[in-house]
Amino acid sequence: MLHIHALTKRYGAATVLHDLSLTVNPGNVVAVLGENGSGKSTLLRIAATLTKPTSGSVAVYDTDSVSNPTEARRHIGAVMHSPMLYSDLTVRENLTLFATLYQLEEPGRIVEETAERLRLMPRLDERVRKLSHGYRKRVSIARAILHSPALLLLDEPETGIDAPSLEDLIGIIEEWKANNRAVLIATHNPELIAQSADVVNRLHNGHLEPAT
Amino acid sequence: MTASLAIIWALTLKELRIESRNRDIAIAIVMFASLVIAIFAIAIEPTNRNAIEAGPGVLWAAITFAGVVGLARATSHELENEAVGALMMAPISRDLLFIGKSLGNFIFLTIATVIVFIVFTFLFNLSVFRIETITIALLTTIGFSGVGTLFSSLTFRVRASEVLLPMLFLPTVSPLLFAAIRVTAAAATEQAWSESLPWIQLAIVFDILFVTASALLFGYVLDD
Repeated sequence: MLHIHALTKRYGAATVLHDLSLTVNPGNVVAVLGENGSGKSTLLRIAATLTKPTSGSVAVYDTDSVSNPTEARRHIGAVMHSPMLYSDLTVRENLTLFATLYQLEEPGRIVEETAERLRLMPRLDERVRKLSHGYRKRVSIARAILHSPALLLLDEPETGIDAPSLEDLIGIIEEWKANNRAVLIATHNPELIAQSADVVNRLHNGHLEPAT
Repeated sequence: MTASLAIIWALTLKELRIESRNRDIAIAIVMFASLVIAIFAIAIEPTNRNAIEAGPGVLWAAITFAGVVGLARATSHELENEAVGALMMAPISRDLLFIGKSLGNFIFLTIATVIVFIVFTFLFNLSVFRIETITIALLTTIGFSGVGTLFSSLTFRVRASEVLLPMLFLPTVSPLLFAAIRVTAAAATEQAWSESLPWIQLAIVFDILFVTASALLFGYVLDD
């Protein structure tokens, strides 16, 4: 599903990721732990095609996501630190926009189903600017799963969400696993790791190693 | 083709919705541009001769001001919540993103231009609603939107973007501005259409070259 090989990312003189390799197989949930600033977000941004690696290869479904990102993007959904939503659009308008960009059939129906699932229906016609941080995170998760991506990338998705929302999130991760899709998650949350992760790695000094 | 049009429309609609919900900012920009015209109108007391000599320059300086501020503001909502990241992750060609964004900018600039034209006609007592001025205004707005979309995307991550954008944008669009001022001056003195034609041709060539180049470079700028 996701194959990262010999990945290095440098920002000027600083090497954030050093010769890193990682595979996430279908049906697997791989967790990445690490201190703040260890490079977890950079790793996820590269996997999401938002940042280009300095060297190395990243492939999603055998599609090189560095040389052919448009094709790889069809299979990727990502929840990053920022909600990546338009504050002046309503929840419905945001989700409908992205459903259209992913060329989904019946975007209106899919938006409502996804909103229902994340208990967003009462706030569907409110502007994102008026939502709390937790609600924004839920909308962000809804945006990421709208097109049922084969690979879900989650960067500390538990931040700012309440217990019922965390349960919803764990339910989504379980569903992805059951449907032979894959999840790569950067998290500090022990509950999320205990309930979901098949493989746990630690990112330290730019190197990825199995967590003990 | 239909899918591409649906995507372009969705992107343009997004721009228009955000604009309409930030009307106060758009109105402030147009008001400020109108104020520039009003200040000049008071300063030079436009008699017919003064209006013809100074008017075209004042008019296009005001429109350019509205354009630069409008372009910078149109990019700022992409940065809030890093919304642009979700756009970049969408499996669509960068060309479609460019067209959608440019169309949104084009509509905003066209509305601003029409309002500034009306204010100018009223304060300078000089009609600019002639076929050659409308043609050059359309061509200038197309050029501003295309080149502006590229440059605002190039500068929006930079700390001093509000300074860098005009520094890059204004010299690049200066041929369009010269053409617009010349055509407006020719129209104001009721010269024959043939006097304006070379400048209109220049604007057409500028738009073809620079808007195409902007569309081609947009993807590289956005991804890097």
